[in-house]
Amino acid sequence: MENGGPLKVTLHGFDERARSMLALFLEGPAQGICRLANTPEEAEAAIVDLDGAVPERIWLEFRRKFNGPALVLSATERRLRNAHWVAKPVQLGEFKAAIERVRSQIDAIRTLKRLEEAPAPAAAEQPGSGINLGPLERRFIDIAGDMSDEIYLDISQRERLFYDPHQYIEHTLREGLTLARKDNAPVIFDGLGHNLIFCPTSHRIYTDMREQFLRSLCVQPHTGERIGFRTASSDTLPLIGSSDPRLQRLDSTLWNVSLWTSRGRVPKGTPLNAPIKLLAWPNLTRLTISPHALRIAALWATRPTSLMDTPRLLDVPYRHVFAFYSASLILGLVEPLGGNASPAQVSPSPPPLPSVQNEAQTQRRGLLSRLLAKLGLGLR
Amino acid sequence: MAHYKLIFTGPVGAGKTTAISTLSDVPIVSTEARASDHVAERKPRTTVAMDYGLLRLDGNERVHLYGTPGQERFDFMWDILTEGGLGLILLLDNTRPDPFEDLRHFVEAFRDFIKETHLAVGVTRMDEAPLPGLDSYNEHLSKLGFAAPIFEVDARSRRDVAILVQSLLYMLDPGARG
Ligand SMILES: Nc1nc2c(ncn2[C@@H]2O[C@H](COP(=O)(O)OP(=O)(O)OP(=O)(O)O)[C@@H](O)[C@H]2O)c(=O)[nH]1
Ligand SMILES: [Mg+2]
Repeated sequence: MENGGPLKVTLHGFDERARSMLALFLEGPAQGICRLANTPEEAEAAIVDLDGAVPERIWLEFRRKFNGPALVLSATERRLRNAHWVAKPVQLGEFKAAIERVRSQIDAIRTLKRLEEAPAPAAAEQPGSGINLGPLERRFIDIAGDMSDEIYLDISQRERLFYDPHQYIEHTLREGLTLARKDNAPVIFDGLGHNLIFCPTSHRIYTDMREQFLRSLCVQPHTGERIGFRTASSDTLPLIGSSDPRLQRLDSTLWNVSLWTSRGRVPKGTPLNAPIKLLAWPNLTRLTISPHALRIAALWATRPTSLMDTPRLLDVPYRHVFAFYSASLILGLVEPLGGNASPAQVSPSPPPLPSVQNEAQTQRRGLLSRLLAKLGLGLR
Repeated sequence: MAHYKLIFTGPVGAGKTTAISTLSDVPIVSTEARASDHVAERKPRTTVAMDYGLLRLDGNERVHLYGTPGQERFDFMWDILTEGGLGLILLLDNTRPDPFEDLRHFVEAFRDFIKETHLAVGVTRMDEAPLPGLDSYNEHLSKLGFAAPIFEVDARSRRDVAILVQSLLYMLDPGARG
């Protein structure tokens, strides 16, 4: 068929009678569309009769011999990998259409081979590997604190790993959100010296506070005590256009509030040795990406692991793991399993990650790492 | 040298061609044609056989990026394209009439491939249609028996597409590090 000639086919599963009938069909009405291959090696595609006694056996036997595209003839519809079904009795129009599909498939396979084997085409303008860090992503200390691993491992300093959200504005904001959701109405916060309105239906907040100001409120304990909140009817609110910069995403604000407040700690009472399960991924294209967030999320999604084991398993600082947990918690995306409530001692050593033992796995981990570096967020 | 590939799939107009071109180091090879019949109402050009892009790594190593055609009459291409793939990136268009049906359709069509590898889902055009939200996608996906990273993605943004692909790679091996 290289020059548009008939497609060369081999036959499988046909008894003598069916075979000679098909041969007549190919030499007659289907002439020029396809012909029997002279040798098995020459065949570009196969035609398989699947109305024999045990179709599954016929198919398996066939697939052991031939890997290429196939036309399957049978009275009832068959959906098989890499095969195109034609109903019996065979109509010329349908047969032609199926052969056309096989031809495009063969073309496509050839194109794939050519592309994969071709020397790499000249580079387009390099899109610039690595991604510019947003100002937020640079401020790791703001979002993960600066406690060293020694503090996390020192039993006598255990207290320092926890914070009480009730002492911070985080708690007041969460209560305001609960009210907004319950009444399905906007909630206005008073006593901040600035506007702050939660709009539950649009998942937005409205505020004229600068980010730095909100962050400074999050850091100080007891700020929440002088802040009140109340529901408001929508028509008392300022008219807000959807492109108004004072309108921000609710999830992203809460996420930041939690990072700024926790700074590498977790809420009081969090079990440090219970495996953490990721219930759903945070929307990391639209949230501040805390360091190692993607790796930690992938681990907790595929293999729940405790707060104390995760840093050792992934070889990342404890504070980044704790920060990611607290932020995910405020959005309801993580859950400690098994209710091991006692923040007990550190377990001797975490079970290792699915080990890379054989050559192929090592090779793949290497490739994944190089590819990740190329895509780069600059956030290791 | 081993060849690696990443497969992008999704319905017509979800942003597959765009996503591959934002990542590719080379101008993409795209078998596009003027869209016929009902597709043309949504967009003038559509991919008919596949998209192809390439990421070059140090040491002459390459990762091939393939996009499946969005139109169903080309779905015989899917098996061929996924063979040997590292994983599947599914793009869904939030402005389509029933994006959850699209989700179901593609997850079912690629079920075996996803089971052998991993899946990451990017929901595009959320700037035009903010609803349904990602939580609904998560629910629908878990009803289909899968869990996967699901992000809001603008296929025109390299950062968005890169984060989506990275999440897939970490799912394949959280021990890898960039
Ligand atoms: N507004 C908006 N436009 C987007 C977004 N993502 C992609 N697009 C646009 O959507 C259009 C369709 O994208 P394509 O890349 O051609 O879609 P495709 O999936 O390749 O479509 P087919 O080849 O027909 O299957 C392009 O014009 C993109 O720029 C998004 O998040 N928001
Ligand atoms: Mg396309």
